[in-house]
Amino acid sequence: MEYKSGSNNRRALDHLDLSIPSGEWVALLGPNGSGKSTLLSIASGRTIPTSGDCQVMGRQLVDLQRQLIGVVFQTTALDPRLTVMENLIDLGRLQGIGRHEIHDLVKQALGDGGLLERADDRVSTLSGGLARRVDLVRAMLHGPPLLLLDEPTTGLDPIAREQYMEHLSRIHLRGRTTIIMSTHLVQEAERAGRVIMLNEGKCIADDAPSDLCEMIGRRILKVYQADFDPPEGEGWRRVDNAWTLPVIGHADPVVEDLLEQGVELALMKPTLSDVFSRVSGVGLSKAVTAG
Amino acid sequence: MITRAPSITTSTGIIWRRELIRFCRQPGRIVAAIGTSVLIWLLLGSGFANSLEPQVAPDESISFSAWLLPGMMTLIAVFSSIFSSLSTIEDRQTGWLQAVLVSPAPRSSIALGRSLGGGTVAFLQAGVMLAAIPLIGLSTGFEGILLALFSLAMTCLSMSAIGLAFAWRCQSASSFHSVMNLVFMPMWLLSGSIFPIDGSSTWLSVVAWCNPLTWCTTAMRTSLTGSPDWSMIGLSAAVSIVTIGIATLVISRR
Repeated sequence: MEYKSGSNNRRALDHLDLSIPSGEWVALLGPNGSGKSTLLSIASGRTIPTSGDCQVMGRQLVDLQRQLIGVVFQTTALDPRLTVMENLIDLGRLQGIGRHEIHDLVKQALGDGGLLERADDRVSTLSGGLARRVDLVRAMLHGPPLLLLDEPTTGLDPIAREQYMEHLSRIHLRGRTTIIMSTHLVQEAERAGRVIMLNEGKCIADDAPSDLCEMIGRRILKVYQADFDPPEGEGWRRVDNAWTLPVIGHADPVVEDLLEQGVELALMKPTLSDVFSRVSGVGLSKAVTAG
Repeated sequence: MITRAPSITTSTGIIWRRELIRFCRQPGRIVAAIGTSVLIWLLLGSGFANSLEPQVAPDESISFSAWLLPGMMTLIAVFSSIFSSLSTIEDRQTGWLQAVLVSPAPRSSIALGRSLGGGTVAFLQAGVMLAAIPLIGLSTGFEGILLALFSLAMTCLSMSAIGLAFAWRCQSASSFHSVMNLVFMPMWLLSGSIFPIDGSSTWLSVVAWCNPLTWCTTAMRTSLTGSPDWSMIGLSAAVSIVTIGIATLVISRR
């Protein structure tokens, strides 16, 4: 599948070939502009790929059954002038929930999310974290088997982010909902069962988080010394402010050599950020900042 | 739970009702739309009455203020349409409409709901102006008021729908401002709302009579003065149907 955009026909998605079985929690990890949002936009039927084919829940995009999908956007899709209840009733009805069921369903969903006492408050009075949680309730109200989330924790502080991800985990465990979530935060991607790394519209790695980390080695050696000159041919890569190299651990001859030379180094368990850097040649955090 | 896609009437009704709720919770919007028009009406009605009254009513059958009333109602329809179009842009990119666009609700219901919602809001604001009828010496009968209200409803629907169609193609509120300056304001100025078309230069007269807003304003004016122009009333209804059709086409296209 391919998607070109803009006047210069930039490839937002470049020969992407993916299959996601139902029940899986997949994180799309990549910097800004890597194609995550475009992929979710296609999966939700808002964008049509310029070439190739996309099937969602076994159906082509033109026949997409939208009631089978819940979508959470980068900004909350709630009207700040309406109350929580009014928003959920209207948007639930537009998802096809019947007039007679909607009130009970909204109350139950708000109760499950611990949000019932804010039901009659206007959305504009909610904190960012609460509004996000209400927005998640909105996306899940009609019980869709597929949930698409586009950087759902944008703008949240670390505590609210953690609470949001906990809530999402519970939804996944409770209903075996298929979740496809885009993020540029490693901590969020690590919660998923599968991580698809995207860079410049291409899939550069696709596996379980632990397998991806093991793929590059047991430990990552990092040298932050500014005047360090890495030996050639060993696979050293400059990522952000450090020279990095996958090693087997303390016993690795490279580590021993460097320690003998008095080089200041750090040995760390590889993270998804290290994997991204090794595979793409660009630091994830740097790409995000630059992006 | 597997739901069924909502019907076009259900989703149109939901979108329409939301527009009304939002309007009631934005008093500033009401004040801005009605206040500006009343202010312009008072300024023009008192300031230009001596110079323009002989042209609009040589037989002194109608005061300039009374002649201006339909034009001010058209202005409220234009202002209201601009407000509602601006909120559409905001809503589509970062708000409520995003959720509607990924829902199974038919896209035509977005066009219908927003046009009807925006049109109703404009109609309520502009309709208030009719309360001034006894104060400006008009003796419009019940039938005339009904016809004026009908023409006003058609004007509001048309402006709301055409604003929606333009706003849907605009990426930002700032780009909509150019549409506002290039389309809406010239349309209103050339609609015979504040200057009489009769007596203007030939080319201007031709342009004005090709302007759908002229048909709407004339339909209202003739209804209020007791000699309804049925062709203009019919044309204003046709314009609203065509503009809603255009808005539906624009929104339904991907």
